[in-house]
Order: sequence, then structure tokens, then C-alpha cells
Amino acid sequence: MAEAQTMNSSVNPRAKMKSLFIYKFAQAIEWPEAYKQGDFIIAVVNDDDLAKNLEIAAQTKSLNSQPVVVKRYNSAADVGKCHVMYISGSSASEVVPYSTKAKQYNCLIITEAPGMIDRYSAINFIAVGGMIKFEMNRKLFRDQDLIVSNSLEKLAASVVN
Amino acid sequence: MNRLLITILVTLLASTGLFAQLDPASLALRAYTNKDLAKAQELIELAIKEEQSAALAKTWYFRGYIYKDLYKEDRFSSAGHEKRNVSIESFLKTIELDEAKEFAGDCAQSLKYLSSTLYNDAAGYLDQDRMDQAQDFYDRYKTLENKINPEMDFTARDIEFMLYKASKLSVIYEKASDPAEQDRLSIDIVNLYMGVIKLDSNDIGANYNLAIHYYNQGVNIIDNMDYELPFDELFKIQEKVMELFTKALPFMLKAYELDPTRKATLQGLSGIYFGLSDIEKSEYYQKELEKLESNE
Repeated sequence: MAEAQTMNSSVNPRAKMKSLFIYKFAQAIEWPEAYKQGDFIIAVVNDDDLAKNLEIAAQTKSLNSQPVVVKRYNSAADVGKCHVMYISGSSASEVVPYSTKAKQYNCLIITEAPGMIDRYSAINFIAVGGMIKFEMNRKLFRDQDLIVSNSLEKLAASVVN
Repeated sequence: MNRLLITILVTLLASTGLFAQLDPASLALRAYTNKDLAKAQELIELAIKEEQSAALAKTWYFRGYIYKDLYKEDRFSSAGHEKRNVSIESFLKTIELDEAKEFAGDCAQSLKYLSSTLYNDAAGYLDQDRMDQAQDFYDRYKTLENKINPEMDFTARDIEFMLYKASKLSVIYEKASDPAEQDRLSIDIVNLYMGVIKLDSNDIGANYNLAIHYYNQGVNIIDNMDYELPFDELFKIQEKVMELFTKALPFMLKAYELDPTRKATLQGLSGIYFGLSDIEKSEYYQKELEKLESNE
């Protein structure tokens, strides 16, 4: 007469967690003046669950007093101005076309793959003891004219220059 | 009607004659055979108050039957349950007084029946989410069974009851919005599944369900996280969630060991490893699941 419990598969826990991190990153960074008006654009590459979480949050939460718009990209050629770009992909060949395009803007590039922090992204998600943490590259923040708060650096698992 | 009761009644009537003076117990039996249960109840209560009648096994035996039928007429009310209690008590008293073992077989059969109604009531209360009553009736069922058959092994029954209770509590848990209530329910759910695993570590249902309970707890915490949370809270909450996913893992692995071809278990393992950021293992079990599905 006992019934099997049903796994909650409607929630992707990592996607939700990463979307929370992305919001927190955005709140801890200052963009150039030209980016402080209009929509706050978050671009997502190859991660529909993450994009969905961000879209849900965008319905009720603004970022730095700007309405949030989430854009999903399947082609680097389509990439336009954005404040944040999350690129899912484990190899440079997956990441580079997008990061190269995003670097034309004052965009915070976020990845989740080993080695990306050295050249391609200002923030890279890493797993530490099962937990999602992040590493930062100060130079890439500077290159993009993004001012990052000290408190964010303190929370990073590691910071490279 | 029970053959022994009819035999007793016929014997009584033959030995005393239809109009002779009968003792209250025999009169109660006559009312019972005439289907006048109210009269039978009244008379049997008089009978047990008489010292001589109260010392006879047959008086209590009649009382057991009368109250059993009264219970059957009113089995869903607390008054009906009280009648069942009287019936049980009377049959037990019969066994105690019945040195000749004249009524032993009949009493055992009736008590077995009454015990099964206690168990069914326990399950019925679970269906209605009335957990305290369900536990109470299950405990009564066990107490009675212990008296009927002290050698009885309750392992299978205990497992069945605990699994069902835990699954019902899980449904309540999923619907609960008060975190304090969820915590309380979660403790009960974990204790029940652990109780089953203690009795039978190879119970696949308990292992799987416990793993899912821990996993869902973690997922629900993340799902309810607000975007306004302070940054450092993300890490604290993640730690708590990782603890839950870590707790889930050994039980899901055990369920996998017991049945590597169960799809829900493969999905569970993939989900838990994914939550633990072990993407390689998550993908391994996802591929195992896909292989299984493609072979169907």
C-alpha cells in the first residue's frame, strides 16, 4: 500500500543557484554611465534552465534600478549589447566566439569551465566540495571598464590578476 | 450465526424447556439468536454483574459475540469502536476462564477478525491523514495480536505500516507552507524510513523514498531562495542543501545496488550527483537511464 515518492524534477537546483549568483554579481558591479539607463540585459548561451530562472526573476526584480531583459543566444553572430553574458560550455571553442563578441561591449562575461578564467571570462563558476563557488579575473574586469566591489572579491574562491 | 452458539442454545432450550427460567446469559443468547441485539446487550450486562454468571466462560463468550455484532452495526463511530473493545475484552476473558478450551478456537477466530479490523482502521486513518489515530489503532492491533499469538513476527506489518505512513506524511509535507511544520514532518518521515531500514536494510522502497525525501528537501530550499538574499547567505544555504544531497546519496546508491534497472533510481542518482556538482557521474547515470529506455 506504500507509494513511491516523486522526485522534484521541476527545479534544476544548479540553474536556480547560478541565477541567484548572477543577480548578486550584477548588484556588486558598477557599469559605465552609458549602461546605467534602459534595460539591464543578461545574455544566456546554451543554458535554457538558467535563462528560464532569470526570466522568472526578471518579472519582479530589477537590477540597479533597471528592468531586466534576458536574451538567449544560439549564435555568436546575433550577440548585441548586454550587461552580463553567461556562456555554458566546457571548451574554448564553445566559449570564445561568444566572449569575443561580448568583449565589444562593457559586458561581464561569466563561464563555467576549467581554464576559462585565465583568458575569457571575468567570473568562472567552479565546484568546491559540491558547492557552486566562483573565481574572478581582475584584469578582465578592468578591460571591460567594470568596477567590482571589494566584498565580491572577498567572497570569491580565488582571484587572478 | 456461529454453529457453537446455536448448539448451546438448542441444548439450553432442550434441557430447560421453552418456558423454564433461564439465567441472564442464556436469555441474552436467546435474544441474540432472535436478532434483538439491544435486548441481548442489556441482558448480558446483567449477567456479568452476577457473580456466578461472571465466573463462567460462556457468559463472556456470549458477550463477545453480542458486542462483535453490535460493533458490526456501527463500525465507523467511536461508539462502535468502544463496542469492539468490549468484544475483544470479553473474548480474552473467555480464554482466561475457559479451562476446558471449549471456546478457544472460536475466540481465536473472532479475535483474529477483530484484530484485522483494527489494522484496517489504522490504514483507513492513514488514508484520511489522521496520523495519531492511525498510530493508535496500529498499536492496538499489535497489542491484540501479541495476546493472540505471542510468537507473531511483526516485521512485515511494521514495514508496510511505516512505509505507508511515511508516504502519506510526505504528501502532507509537500503541501505544508509553515517551515516549522515541515521540519516536524521531516523528522517523522526520516524516522519512519530509518525505522524500516533498521528492520530490513534491503527494503528498496525505504531507501529510495528516503533519498528522494532528502533530495526534494534540498531542492525545495533552493527553489524558495529569494533574489534579495544577502550574498553570503547563498553559501550558507548551499552548505545546508549540500548536506541534504549528501545524505540522500548513500540511500539512492543502496536502492541502485538492490535494483540497477529501476528507472526512477537512475534518474534519482543523476539528479543527486548533478546537485552535488559531480557532472561526470550525473551524466553516467543519465546515460544508463537512456540505455534502459532505448532497450524497452
